[in-house]
Amino acid sequence: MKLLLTSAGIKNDSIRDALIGLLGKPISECDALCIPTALYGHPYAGPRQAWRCISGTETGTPTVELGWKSVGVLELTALPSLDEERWLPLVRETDVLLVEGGDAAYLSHWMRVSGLADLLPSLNAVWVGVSAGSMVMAPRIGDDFVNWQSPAGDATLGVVDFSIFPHLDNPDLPRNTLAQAERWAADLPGPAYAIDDETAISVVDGAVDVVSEGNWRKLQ
Amino acid sequence: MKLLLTSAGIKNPSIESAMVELLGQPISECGALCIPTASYGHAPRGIHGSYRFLTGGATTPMVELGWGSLGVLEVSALATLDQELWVPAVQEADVLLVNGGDSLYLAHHMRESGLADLVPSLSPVWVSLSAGSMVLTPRIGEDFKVWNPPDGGDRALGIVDFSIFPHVDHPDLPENTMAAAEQWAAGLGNPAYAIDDDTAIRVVDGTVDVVSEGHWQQFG
Repeated sequence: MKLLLTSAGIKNDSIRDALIGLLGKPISECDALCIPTALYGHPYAGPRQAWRCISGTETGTPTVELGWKSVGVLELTALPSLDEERWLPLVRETDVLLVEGGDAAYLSHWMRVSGLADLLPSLNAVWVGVSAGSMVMAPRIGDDFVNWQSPAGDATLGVVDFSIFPHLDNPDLPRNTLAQAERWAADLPGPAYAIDDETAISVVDGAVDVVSEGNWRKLQ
Repeated sequence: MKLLLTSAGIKNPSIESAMVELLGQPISECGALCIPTASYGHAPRGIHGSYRFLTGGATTPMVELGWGSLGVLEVSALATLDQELWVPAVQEADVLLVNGGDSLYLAHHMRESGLADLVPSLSPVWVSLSAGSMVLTPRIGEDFKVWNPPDGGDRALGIVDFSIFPHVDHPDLPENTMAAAEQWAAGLGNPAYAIDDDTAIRVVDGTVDVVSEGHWQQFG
């Protein structure tokens, strides 16, 4: 599976070009599924933010509104109560998963419970993460980012071997400074990236590449 | 508790007037929460149906009417969230817009989350279509069963004392004849209504009346 781990979605032409490169065809020829689940778990997100993201009207984190051939809503909390054949073939056929932000631990929990986490290595779709939708791929998110109390603590899926500190220097999040990111990274056993909203990390067959029109830092 | 139980949404001026009267203020001043959850019970179709509903692109007018604000209440997510993340949002809403799909699937998640217990005392108006209307009835009848609930029956929430046969005489649903509805009603053991897509059932403090520019029939 190819990953495009963003802080705030497809914010600039460089990230958009990277996305099209991973898709291997124009956006208008790609079928997309939006995963809103993380939005419901975080007090800063919630019902209205969920509607803006799904309806493609959240200009702060562009994903759904890019002009996909089709869009569906893959709600992970709904999946365990459905027979797999009702959703699995569609996930296997889709070109891209648009994974919204919110609470990474909540998303990680439902990725595991739904069985989607186990399927990731066999999927053809590009995973486009926003914020928590990117952080969920890390081995850990760090205690600073824990809101929803998961049985797994701050442990997430570990699909990549680095952690992500998103929204670096975002003016609406005054605590998201580089100094704070360095303190956060110091408590983590593995490598980490702090990325601002103009930056994304692409991962293809284990090769990690940073795409940016803004600021980022690799933290050990 | 005020309910406007439609077959296919706000399809005509009579149903719209009834809704505005129940709201007690213009649509543009109302905060709406959309419940897409029943859609997923009819995945894979419902995965795209949820997106069309939430973006106002379905053939069942509801989300696109010009609400003051919109949010998503994902019922399947609620059971794993602290109540303070969602109960205040529900109580502050003016209206809940409830999509169709699978009524027993929706009933299951409404019970699991505790939303079913809140509905009788809710201040927002419940405006629903198809399965979103049937979910409040005592039972849906075997004819309408798709998703199989844990208890195996056809029991819904029983918040009203009659059952609903929606989409009667719909050209795309040749089995939905009034004769079929009559047969369906005979097997229920409680009163029932068959309503076409231009009809709604209004319930205010237990008083039931029908708003229609089409046709409908009461049984039992």
